[in-house]
Amino acid sequence: MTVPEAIQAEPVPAAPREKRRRPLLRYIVKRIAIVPVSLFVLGSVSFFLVFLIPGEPAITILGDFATKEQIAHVNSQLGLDKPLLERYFSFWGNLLQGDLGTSFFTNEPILHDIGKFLPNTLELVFFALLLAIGLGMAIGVVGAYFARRIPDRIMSGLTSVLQSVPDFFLALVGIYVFFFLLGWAPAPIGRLPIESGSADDRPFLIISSLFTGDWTTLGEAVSHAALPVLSLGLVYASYFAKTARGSMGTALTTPQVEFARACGLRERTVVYYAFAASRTTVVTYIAILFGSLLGGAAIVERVFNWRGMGQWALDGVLKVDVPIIQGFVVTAGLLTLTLFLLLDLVVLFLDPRVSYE
Amino acid sequence: MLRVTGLTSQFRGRAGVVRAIDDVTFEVPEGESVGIVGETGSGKSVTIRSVLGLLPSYGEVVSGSAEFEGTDLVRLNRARLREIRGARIGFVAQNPFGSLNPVLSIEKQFRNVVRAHRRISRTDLRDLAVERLESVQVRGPERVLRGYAHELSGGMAQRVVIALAMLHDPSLVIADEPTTALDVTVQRQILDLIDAQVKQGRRSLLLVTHDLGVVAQYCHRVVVMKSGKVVETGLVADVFSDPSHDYTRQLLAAVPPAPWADDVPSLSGQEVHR
Amino acid sequence: MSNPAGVRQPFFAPFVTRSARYVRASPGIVAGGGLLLFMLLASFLAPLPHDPITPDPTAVLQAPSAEYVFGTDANGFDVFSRVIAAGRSDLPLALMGTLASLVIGLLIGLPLSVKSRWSEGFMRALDAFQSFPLIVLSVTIVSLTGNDIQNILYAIVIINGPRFIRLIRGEALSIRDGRFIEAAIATGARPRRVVFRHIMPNVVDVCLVQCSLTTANAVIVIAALNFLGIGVSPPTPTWGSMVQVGAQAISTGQWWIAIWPGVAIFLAIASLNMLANGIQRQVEGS
Repeated sequence: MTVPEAIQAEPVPAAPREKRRRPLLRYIVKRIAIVPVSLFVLGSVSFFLVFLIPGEPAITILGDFATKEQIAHVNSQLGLDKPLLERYFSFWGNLLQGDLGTSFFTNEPILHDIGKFLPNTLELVFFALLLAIGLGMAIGVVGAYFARRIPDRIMSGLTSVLQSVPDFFLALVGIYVFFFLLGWAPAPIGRLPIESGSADDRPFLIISSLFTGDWTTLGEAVSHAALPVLSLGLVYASYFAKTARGSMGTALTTPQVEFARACGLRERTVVYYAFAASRTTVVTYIAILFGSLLGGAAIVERVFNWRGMGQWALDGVLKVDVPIIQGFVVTAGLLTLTLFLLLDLVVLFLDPRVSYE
Repeated sequence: MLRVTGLTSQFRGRAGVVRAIDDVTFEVPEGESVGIVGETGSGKSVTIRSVLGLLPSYGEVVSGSAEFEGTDLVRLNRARLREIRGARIGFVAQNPFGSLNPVLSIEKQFRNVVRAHRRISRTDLRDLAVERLESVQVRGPERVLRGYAHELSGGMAQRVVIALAMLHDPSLVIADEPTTALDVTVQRQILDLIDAQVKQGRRSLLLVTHDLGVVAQYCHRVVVMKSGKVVETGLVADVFSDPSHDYTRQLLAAVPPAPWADDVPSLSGQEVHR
Repeated sequence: MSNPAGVRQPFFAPFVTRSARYVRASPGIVAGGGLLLFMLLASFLAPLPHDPITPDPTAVLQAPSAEYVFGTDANGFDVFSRVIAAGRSDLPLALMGTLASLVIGLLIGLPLSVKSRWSEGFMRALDAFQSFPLIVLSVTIVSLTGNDIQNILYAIVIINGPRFIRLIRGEALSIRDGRFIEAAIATGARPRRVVFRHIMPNVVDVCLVQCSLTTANAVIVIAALNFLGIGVSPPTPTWGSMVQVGAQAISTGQWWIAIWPGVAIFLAIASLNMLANGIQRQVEGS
């Protein structure tokens, strides 16, 4: 824990390194090779989603009082006037060129919308995930260390309570307490106060203002982000806490930890040993939770008018705006795939036992 | 050296309190090797964990004492006990792969164990680790240090564990069935190694085993345990030639005739039937 | 669970004795189960002071009082009556969703517990599927297939079915490796018989835990969908849509409209989580 990097910096003979690197490379290449396959499945799913709409899609979308011209327009937009196979191929042709079509209702290109709204979602999800992991791990580690004792009871009680609150409800309670009663938080109207103008063209407010040293904007952005991040982060912290409590609890009762104690290691080093051995579980769990976090973010975004991709997609879903739905399915799938890939590689470096084959 | 008197430990469980060891008394004299034998569940492991303060959170020592070099380990506070563990008492556990951390390099584990008890510069540390690994006959110590536990064979891993246990030249070594998890072919090598390390440093050894042959060969004294109680204790020669307790007699009858007198290569492969 | 025909008696018998064993002296099970039972009984039996689906335009946005215990919302609906009445649709729907997920899990999970390339591949595909924002997918499916409350069942199954499949398969695999299955096969029992007589009752144990957790999750899913305005037809009361109505008023201080249905959701989920924890502990303890 103290000065750990110093050793790696020492010169190492080349031979054994070389031996380990090549299978690693092969593993990574193999891992990346799965991506096109997943993409194919993803694209096909988003294409065939339209077939779930019962009856005639154009009428479902436009309502019963649509004119013939409107229906014909939507049908040609959906490509329903062409044979299935042709549509499927042209869908793929467009998708591979990055063309996701345009919205039925706003006529905005989907890709443009995603470029506008995705950064906001990423910002929200990033900080919520950070909070969830940090807090969840802390709760889990404390609980595991004091297994079956009073701190464990308190932590598991806290976990159960957080687990029982829907994130959107927690958000509302937060708005009532911190905005209405205490006045600490700003109104749930988006990422910036109204006076500051539209925040749509200013992605990653917190990080960019941090780097440019724009403290006023940073303050405003942070205060607007606080409640959404808290309501998402706290709820998801409970899931991490549960996982961390479990894997740390197991790790702390292994002979490995007993031997570390028997060697006279300090308690914090002992806890670190257990943590190191169980951290891959938690990292893997990030990948599993990310999808539902993205979904949760969609609802919370709506509560806070965050104008993120989730809110955009939900609005699109409610209006049966098929290109938006397809665009979201593809983007969310891509995000998840990328995260899986990244985390797989992280695990690879965290855990020397993972075989590259 | 180590005098255990009336040691009693219990576990709290769902079904109430279970007494795991009851009134355990024995002694490890300076420079001698003592074997604790008994069947699975007889309290051997609980005894040494009570001595070292390594009982799980739901277990506790209720009475008795374990006096080591004049201090009672049972009543020592955690910080002081930590200073003794690893420095004055070395511990070798059953499964070497269980003992070593799977995701930290061997070098990092050496560094942590050294730094738990004294300050040391990085180059000194590496020299020390290499020297100690060589003394337990690990070939290519530099490569082993850079690597991880799973890259080692069972025998090699247990050697690393022994090197870690002996790092601070402890005066007492406690070994908990150090060969059960290993291949039969390396069991003897590891026992010889522990024996040599103990004799070299004029240390005392407390060896937990269920193998009477091992006790006969490596120990001066023996403590026979059954259901959490010590049933017999004394010099190996006395106890084995003239057991006073029925249980000891049964144990002895379960192994082929007088293996400790003969040069029988290994008993561990034998089936013990009662 | 009582089955007068007694056809499946050998299968349900261990289930019944187990249930009896769980109830004995476990605070989590007693508290969780009690609370859940209370909520169910209250939903169906409690007297409603006002009509939950007829608003009173003369009493809009009333704070909680003796007349309106939980207050009224912007349309003049009595919050208390609606919170109680919402339990009638929300709780049974959650239970039904769980049952459907369980059936799916059994139907797909048990056959998949035969180790083969094919089943491994299926599990991989399931991994990929589960890593997707399923709540959004289910919102999509429910809104595409029509704004019908029954379609919420799809949503619950989409999210929880895979969990059951994974759990049941894993459990069956580990039990199949157990010695007593070998013994059963060695004595000449047919494979199907082994699955239904020996594996099923053991799977029931862990399924009970998962059922509680799934029902809790289903309550959240239902609330989330209704909160988004999916699967509800006003004025039918549901907790999620009530929270949605309250969300618009909470910034101006009318907390009671959103908080009371939210508390009901919280209590329902908490009771189910308690139940799950209690059963889990009992399973581990035995």
